[in-house]
Amino acid sequence: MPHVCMVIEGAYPFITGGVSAWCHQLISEMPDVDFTLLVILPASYRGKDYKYQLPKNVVDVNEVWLDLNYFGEKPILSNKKQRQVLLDEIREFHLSMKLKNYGFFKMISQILSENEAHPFTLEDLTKTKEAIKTLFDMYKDTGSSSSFMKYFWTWKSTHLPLLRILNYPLPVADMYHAVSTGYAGYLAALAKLKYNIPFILTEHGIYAMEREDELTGSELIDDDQKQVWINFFHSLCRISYSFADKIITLYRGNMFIEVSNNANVDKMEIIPNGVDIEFYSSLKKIPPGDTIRIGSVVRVVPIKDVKAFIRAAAIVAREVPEAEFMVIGPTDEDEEYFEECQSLVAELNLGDRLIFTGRVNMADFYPQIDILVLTSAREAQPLVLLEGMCVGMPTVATDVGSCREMLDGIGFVTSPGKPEETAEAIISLCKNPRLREELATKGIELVHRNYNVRDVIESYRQIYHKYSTQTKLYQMVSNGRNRISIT
Amino acid sequence: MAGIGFQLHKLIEDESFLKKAKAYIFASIITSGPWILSIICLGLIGVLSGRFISGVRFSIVSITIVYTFAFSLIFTAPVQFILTRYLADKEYLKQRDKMLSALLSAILMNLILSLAIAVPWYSLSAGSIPYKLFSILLFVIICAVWTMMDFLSCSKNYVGIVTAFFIGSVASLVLSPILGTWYGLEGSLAGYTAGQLFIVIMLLYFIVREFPFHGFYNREFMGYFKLFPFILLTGLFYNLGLWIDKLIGWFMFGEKIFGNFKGFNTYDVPVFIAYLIIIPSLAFFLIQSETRFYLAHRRFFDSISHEQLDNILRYKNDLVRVLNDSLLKLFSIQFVSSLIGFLFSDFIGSWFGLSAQSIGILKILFFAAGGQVLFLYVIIFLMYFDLSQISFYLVMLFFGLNCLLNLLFVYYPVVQLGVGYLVSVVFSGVIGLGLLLYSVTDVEYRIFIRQEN
Repeated sequence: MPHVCMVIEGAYPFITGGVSAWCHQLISEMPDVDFTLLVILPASYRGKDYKYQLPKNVVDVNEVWLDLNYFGEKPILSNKKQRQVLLDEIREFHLSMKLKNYGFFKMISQILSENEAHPFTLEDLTKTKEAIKTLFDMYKDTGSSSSFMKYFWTWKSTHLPLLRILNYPLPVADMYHAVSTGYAGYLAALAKLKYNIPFILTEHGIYAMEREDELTGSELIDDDQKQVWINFFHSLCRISYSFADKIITLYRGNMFIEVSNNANVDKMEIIPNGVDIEFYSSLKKIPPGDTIRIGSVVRVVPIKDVKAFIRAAAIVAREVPEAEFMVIGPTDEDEEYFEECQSLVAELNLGDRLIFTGRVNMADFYPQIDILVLTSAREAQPLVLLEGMCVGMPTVATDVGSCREMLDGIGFVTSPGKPEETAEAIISLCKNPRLREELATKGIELVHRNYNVRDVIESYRQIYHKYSTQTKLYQMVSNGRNRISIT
Repeated sequence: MAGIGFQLHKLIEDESFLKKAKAYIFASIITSGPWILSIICLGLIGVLSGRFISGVRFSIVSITIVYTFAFSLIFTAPVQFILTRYLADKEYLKQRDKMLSALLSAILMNLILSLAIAVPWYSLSAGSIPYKLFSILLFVIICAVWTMMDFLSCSKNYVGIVTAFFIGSVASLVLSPILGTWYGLEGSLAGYTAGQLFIVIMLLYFIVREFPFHGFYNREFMGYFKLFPFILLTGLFYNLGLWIDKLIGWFMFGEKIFGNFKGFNTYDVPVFIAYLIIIPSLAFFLIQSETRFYLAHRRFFDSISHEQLDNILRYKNDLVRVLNDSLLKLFSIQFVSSLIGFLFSDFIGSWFGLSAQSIGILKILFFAAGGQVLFLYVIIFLMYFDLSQISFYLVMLFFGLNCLLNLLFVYYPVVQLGVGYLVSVVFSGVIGLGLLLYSVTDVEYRIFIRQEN
């Protein structure tokens, strides 16, 4: 049986969301594959409960905490020269990263595999005279105009977690599957080098860009340091791209971005998200009566731009008296934003015509939607659209992520942040029942053809089988273990 | 801590010679404080009282005073060193309102400590009950004065402080013989104690007037004892080292003066004269070295948090330059002073009526005292760089050597008295200087190594 180590950052099984749901489904639907989870999370999640019931084929869960604190160890490399060699290599590694050359990453992992002979601690790399000297030199190399202290802290916050997990005892598996780049891809690349096993990467959202977005919004870090962080995240991603044996992405748009970020196009494959066709096809639509029900299935958070939906609703409400609106999804994730949305509803005199349902069972609500609308500012490949189409509803979505690619000729695609365009599309759908019928049929066909979750799982099953037979490392190691325990 | 140094520094920037002289005299009094004044007092009381009181009575009073100084210095030093550190931190953070409560906590601690030492000692000693009571009172007072000495350097009221010292000392000087003639031994000690009591009351008055009162207990200050054990131990062993050769002299060579008090005039008198030789460099240290060093030190440490590396390194080089320059100047001043003392030692010795042996000892002690104060500067600079652990090892070395060599020379008197002390001081001083200069070269690394999250 293949044994896959799935590396997950900031998601399953501690946090719910798209990626977590995807992981859970993939694992649950593949009882013929064993999984070890390597989950990377901020230290604040330590001791928290899982949000998912782990399937039986999850053999082991390894938790890696991204922690800025020291463990109170002392530098233990007794030999200053050895330490200097190590630091020189780290410095070289930085220089080489700038030149987009990954040879030194290999060297680091080599040092690690020799590290049983010459153990070192995080303190060796950060709390010794040699370490500070190396940092001085690196600061000078940057030619930065900001204070050294800022550089020092930025360097520490970016590198301490990385250096810390350098020493992490990576679990043995036949292959590694990282479900994002970032720290997850970094660990998978380390494992690949350490055990000489395949490393598969699936990227849902583009990690570096998501981090960049977060940083741009942050007021805590000044611009100079933001650039350091952004470079750091891009470097992390490039490590993943460079060492992955296969890079799987959801749709072509993402693939272009990855290629522009130095990913090798020959290693790439597109496996989209999938929906459970049997389940969603079985949901029977509840007839509309005299109203047209327009729904947006989102968590009420800023990135989904719920306000744009509300503004569009106000425009539609004036033109189409029978229109009613629903925002379906949890409202408790950003309560301040939810309050702002509610006041906007009141301000635009939508009254009872727009309701927030809160967290609900979607099987009850998909059948009540006549037109599905998405006004998000950022998406990858939104499952809601696929599910909605599968149930049989026409769609209007903003031009983000793979929406244009998916909805080409099947739904309306509008510019993000332009509620009037969204409204226009909704109105034309409201006024043309035949067009609604036609688009719904096309949507059902599309999902059946391209987005069947069985196909997705089958693709991954094949990949797992193909790559894990290359090494069978897990089997070898565990057999060896058994032999020892028998004698 | 250079608070008062800055006040005096303003004076020397003045062109007038008188103002400059005034600054140095004030600095001398503030740095040497009751120590120097008391030596002068004792000398003068000795001269004056010869006319009024017997030599025996004078030696009893003077040995009481000498013991009071020696043991009060040793036992108050740990609290005093911690207090100095705390005050320096508060001065740096500009939190003057926390200072007074720390001082009061320190005074209370030393009060308890001084009673715990003085009461048993004098209970077992000879003498009348009133004499014992005055002795205990004097001990407590002197302990309080030592505890306040470093605090005074935070004060701006140097005129008041100097005046208090001056008037109190004159009072001791005048009252001791007068009361001595009327009431004998007890009167003589009471007269001296009265002058010192005046000093402590005036100092307290000035301090309470200048600094805001926030209670008698400072919790944060008490925490410093746990945080800085090496500072505490440095204080203790520096002063133990400073006195151990005298203690060995008293108890191994000395003759019984009265009760459990022993004295060793052959060594003691040259010791007290020799220490006068450090006054010029102490004054220079207060006005020039510490002020300049403080500014350079502060600029460097401030630059750490918000400057580019080039600037940090430039300020560090400035700091090293100031330090080297200060050390060189202090050494020169002290060496010249000691040399002058040495050259005039026959003249000085005969003026004080010393024996030929004591004059020989005095010649050595002029250099030993000079070495002692240079060693002190090294310790102070090390403290500025937060290297209390190194200073602790240094004072342990000094204490150990001084103890060992002096004991050795008791049994094998191959060299003159004082040589053991000189060797200990010079040896520890040179090692200390080396360690200081070496540690300062990589101060910037240590700062970043120590940065915690």
